[in-house]
Amino acid sequence: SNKPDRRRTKPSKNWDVPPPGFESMTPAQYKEMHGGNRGGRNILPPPPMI
Amino acid sequence: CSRKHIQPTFSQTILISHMYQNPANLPLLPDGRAGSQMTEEEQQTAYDEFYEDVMVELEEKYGPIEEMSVCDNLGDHLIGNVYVKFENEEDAEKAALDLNNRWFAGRALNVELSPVTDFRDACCR
Repeated sequence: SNKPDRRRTKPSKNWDVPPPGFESMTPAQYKEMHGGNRGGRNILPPPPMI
Repeated sequence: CSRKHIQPTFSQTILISHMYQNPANLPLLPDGRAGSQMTEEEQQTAYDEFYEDVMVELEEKYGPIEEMSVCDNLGDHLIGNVYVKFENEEDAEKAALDLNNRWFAGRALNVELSPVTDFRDACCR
């Protein structure tokens, strides 16, 4: 294979990091608590006013 | 765009909604300053680290990736979207199922199969 070698060079600081205070909850439970999947979209803050 | 996209039953491509939070798109501070104080170089480094972090994790856990693309559009249904095209449909399905129960940077991921096969031709019409 001529693909570049993609191996982790340092541990991830992002993967499997829950929001503070929700460590005992699963992501599925968290999403349900926040109103379900809402059509597969994450819940985002409103866009800035221009 | 009606935003009523057809979600395929099988696909090599997954869509991870709003996964990338571009520091350049942070809302302005109340005093009018930019939301992010990062330099352009720091923003590029942050993006490169994000890309590698996602690419490496998905390849290690789910299978070989053909292509990965991070959406730069600002539309509220597109912003930060990450599209990952796996070499095999089975790996994409496995990834979509598993990632819906994983955290990334303090957020619960929302993942679905996407009909996009050619990123250069992809356009939200």
